Amino acid sequence: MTNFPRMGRTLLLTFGGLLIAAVSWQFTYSQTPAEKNAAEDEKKDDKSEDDAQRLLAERERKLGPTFPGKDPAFLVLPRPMERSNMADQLLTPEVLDRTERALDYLVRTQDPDGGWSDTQFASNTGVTALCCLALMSEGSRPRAGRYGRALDRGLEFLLNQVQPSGVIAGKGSNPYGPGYEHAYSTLALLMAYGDMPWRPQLRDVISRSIQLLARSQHLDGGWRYQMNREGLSDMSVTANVLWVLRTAKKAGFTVAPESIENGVKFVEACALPDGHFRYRTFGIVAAPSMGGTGIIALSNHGQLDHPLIAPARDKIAYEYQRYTIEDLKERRYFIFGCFYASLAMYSCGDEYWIPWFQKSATVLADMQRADGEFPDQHDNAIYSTAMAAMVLQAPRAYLPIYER
Amino acid sequence: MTFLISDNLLWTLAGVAAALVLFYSYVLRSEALRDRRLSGAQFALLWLLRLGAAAAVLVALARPARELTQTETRLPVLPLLVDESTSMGFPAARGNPLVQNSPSSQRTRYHGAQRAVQYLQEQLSQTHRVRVYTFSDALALLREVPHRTADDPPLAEEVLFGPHPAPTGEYSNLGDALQTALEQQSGERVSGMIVLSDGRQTGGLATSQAAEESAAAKVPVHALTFGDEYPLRDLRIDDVVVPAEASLGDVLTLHVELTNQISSPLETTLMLEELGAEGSPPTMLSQRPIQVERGQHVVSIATIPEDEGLKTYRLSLPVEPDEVDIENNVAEVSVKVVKRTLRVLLIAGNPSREYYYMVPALLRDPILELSCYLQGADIDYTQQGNSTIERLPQTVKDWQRYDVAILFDADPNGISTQQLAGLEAMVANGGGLMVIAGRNHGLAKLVQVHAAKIRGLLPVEVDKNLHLDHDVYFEQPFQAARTVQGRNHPVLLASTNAALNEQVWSTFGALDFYWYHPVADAKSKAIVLLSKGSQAGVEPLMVLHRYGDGAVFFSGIDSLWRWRYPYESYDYDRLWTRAIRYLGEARLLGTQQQVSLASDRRSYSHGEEAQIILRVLDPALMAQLADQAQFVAVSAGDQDTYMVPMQKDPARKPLYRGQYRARRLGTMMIRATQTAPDADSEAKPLFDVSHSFQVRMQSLEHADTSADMESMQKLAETTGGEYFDYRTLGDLESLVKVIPTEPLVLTETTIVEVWDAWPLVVIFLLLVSSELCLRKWWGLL
Repeated sequence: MTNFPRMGRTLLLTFGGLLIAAVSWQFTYSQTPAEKNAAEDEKKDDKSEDDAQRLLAERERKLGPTFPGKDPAFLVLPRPMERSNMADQLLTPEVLDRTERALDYLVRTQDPDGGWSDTQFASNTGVTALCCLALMSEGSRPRAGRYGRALDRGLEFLLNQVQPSGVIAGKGSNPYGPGYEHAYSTLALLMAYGDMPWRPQLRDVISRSIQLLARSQHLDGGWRYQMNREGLSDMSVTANVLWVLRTAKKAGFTVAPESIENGVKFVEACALPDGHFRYRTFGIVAAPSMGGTGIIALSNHGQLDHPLIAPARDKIAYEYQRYTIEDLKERRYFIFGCFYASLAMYSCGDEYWIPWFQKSATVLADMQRADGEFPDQHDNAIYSTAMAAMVLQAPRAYLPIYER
Repeated sequence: MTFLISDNLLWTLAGVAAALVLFYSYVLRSEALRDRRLSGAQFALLWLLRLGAAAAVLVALARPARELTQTETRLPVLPLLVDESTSMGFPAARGNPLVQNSPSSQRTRYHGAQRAVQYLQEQLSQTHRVRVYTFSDALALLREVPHRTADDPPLAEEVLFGPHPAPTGEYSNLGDALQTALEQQSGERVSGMIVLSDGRQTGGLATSQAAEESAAAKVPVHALTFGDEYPLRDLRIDDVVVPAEASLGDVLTLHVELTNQISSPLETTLMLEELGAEGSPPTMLSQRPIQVERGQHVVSIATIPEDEGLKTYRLSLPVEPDEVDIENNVAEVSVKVVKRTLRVLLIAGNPSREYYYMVPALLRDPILELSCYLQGADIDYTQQGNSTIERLPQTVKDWQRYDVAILFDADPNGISTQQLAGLEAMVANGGGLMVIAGRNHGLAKLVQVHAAKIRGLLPVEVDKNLHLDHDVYFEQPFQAARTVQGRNHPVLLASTNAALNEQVWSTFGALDFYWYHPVADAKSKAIVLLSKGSQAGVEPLMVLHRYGDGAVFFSGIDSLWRWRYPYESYDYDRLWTRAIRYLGEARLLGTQQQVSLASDRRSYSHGEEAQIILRVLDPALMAQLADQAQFVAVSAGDQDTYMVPMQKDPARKPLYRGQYRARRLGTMMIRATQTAPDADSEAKPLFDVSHSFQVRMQSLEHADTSADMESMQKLAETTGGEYFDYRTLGDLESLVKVIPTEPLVLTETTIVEVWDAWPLVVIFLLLVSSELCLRKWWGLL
């Protein structure tokens, strides 16, 4: 009799266990009507939508990049063939961590006036513009997002540096001339245009900036540091200006077609058949950093099938595969070239982009300092950090300068 | 010896005999006393004669008889019931040993049954009376196999099955056959019954019931199953679901219902060809390698029609070895390819980041003809789009040229009242409007400027005094979540596969958003697709409602470009094109296609009830139809139309159900059409969908070509018989052994009356006449 309570408990526990198991089974294996519908759906061919997408992509790939309408600036690239996991593949926790440290470094080093200063370029609009673009590539917008406040201050700085002539350059500009500063600043403001309704003057600033670029196009078709028509152009500034002009077109600003056509002719004149570009139409072969710049310049005329693009692309791919991390690090203006190469290789598709990015990320990882910055050979750490941050965030596809 | 007289009469006769003795004693005593001249011997002789005559009479009256017993021995009966329905003409199981060595043309189930019958009759015709029956809709005696001795040759198979060389029956009434066979063997000693069938019953008495009757009669039924558990080796295209019309340059997806009865899994290739003019070879358009399990599947294959006109497409599957039917591997469908475009007008205030990504997304859609109008652009600016414009449409007629308009953070001051009236008329007539709120102008400004029209158009309530505060920094992230209705809405369905759809949207749920346009609430009949956080309706972010024949879509977030991570433009682009196609559907296809009309099957037998389902895919349309009765018209050719009332689904699913009993043979067309609640009689319908199904007298023999081994096994188990299938048919000897051979012994007893014969009459007459003669001679008379 003394065992009875224990037996009772045992029976109760057994019964309870069975009851719980039955209820669990019911919830686990029995189907609600919705689940039944889902099960019926699963009988359907779940690849039909993807197949349709692939079919359209194949057709578009055959057609190549197109520009519906009247202007090649409005280039439409073929849609992706499939749901690529490129971003997840490339944005490893390490890359994300490095990017965050780089962006945090930029925010920490922002000047009180909202601008950024580099070792060689104090309170420089070009450096500031690149920092703004880096923050935008994270997904921030002026006054919205994780870096919205810093971005807003940076853009305000740019607006405050607009000169009566229309040039967007302050006292810390390059002594050779404000060509880079003006181009980068215009680009940053174009990217922010539409997200800064509290600055209605923005439209006028950009408009004047573009008119200035048109006025300062050299007779050889290109641009250089000085914002005037005199002298001979260089490949680097010209490519940046072409980039700005195309972006301006997409943003609703009128750009004379001949400006871009002449600029592209200048770039073509700088090209060599082996995929390299000269810095200028004469002289020695330019640094490898010009390869990406050249591709961007040619693409901006809506010619992704330009015969010069393929050798330039292959040259970049070869060099990044061939050279060691140390070799690439030691290159002159490596991060500068890496940034333009990223723009070029991204548009060439995953086949080129993924191996290129993986190698570049390795090189950049080797270059990053403890505070998160990426210095260049002249101990400039801001513009290069901004460019490196944009490269590392390119797989996120949040900044329209990266196009596919 | 026995006496047929009853006992009472026997005692009476005994009395009569005693009386006669007494009488004779008295007569003779008186005679003797009178004459005294008879010697004792004479006296005794007379007495003997008289007693003899009396005894003869008594014997005759007592009816003596004798019993005769006759015995007859009969052989037991063994009925063999052979299924001769057409399903027995299908190939036997590959492992069936009875047909292993036969030519391929003689490897049918029926041939297997013939071999089994031949073997059994050879073994059992010496000990049994073997009766071979065939059955389909009724039982028929094929032949009673003559009894033979060990020296006699067995009956040849050709002789036995001469009248029935092949199965021809349209039914398999196995239960009826068993019952009839049992009745016909009554009075016989039945050693058992042997059924040779695939077990696939198509009508009549249930096999289980017939089995119980056999078990009650103690007649074991031995079941020999032909065929196997798998349907016949066949790979077939059952149906091809394809729209009647397709758009030029757009993807045409053909959904192919196919059945794999070959192997599991089967790797094959679905081919799509376009048939050209007569005589010209077909053009291969697409080949899709597929891997399918056994059973029915839906596989899709797609192509892009490159020119207009009526196209005939042929879908085919390669012929597999030993396939029973190769004609059903091919199907042809005709599709009319027409040039259709959805004209979209995008009016944007300024180029925000969403604008940069959205424009290429729309331009990539081959159906869309996009015209962009960037309000903030330079005056001499060349607008984007594959159909460029220089100014906004002015009149109602101008607006009617567009199917969908997008107001993307548009500056309301750049749109006149007349223009907005044109926009409103376009939407009311079946067009679509997409309103994307942005940080530049906001909805309050839009409502303030165009209150009269825009309030009705918007699916959300907006506080016209709630202007955007640009001094606020939006640094706190929030997540956007699909509402319950949004999860099933076609705009947000990334895939018809629920699991894949959830997988796609799982990346959306992880995104951080920072800014959205606040609204007071969604309108009563509007459908909230996305909301801030997980609580539906609290902070609507994406809302949709029907407006007249058209629809209006609202998005309160302008940074959907964040969904470009992690799959770039793949899902992002498709979200926009789905939304635009949804809004322009009424214009593109003539009516809303957010309803689908279907029947539960494609084919019915005469008299069957067809379930008709009208499914409303769009909750907003369901809300619009809330108070309206729905009917579906059913017609067969030019005959009368029957209206089927449709009832709302009791489980509150967005569908209506109705029933129609198939009374006519042929193709039945069903059609559902509905105009907008407040539309006039001339208005075009909100939707107009059709569907067809077949009603025919169809044989059930081909419905399932696998053998019903389970029911055959149960039949044998219930009656105590043996079960054989393709795995054990090689061991029929064991069946022969278990069939009892005891004969039927019949015993008959007959009674023959002994007295009823001439000797007794002669004896009686001799005795009487002798007594008379002696008495005469001795002078007693």
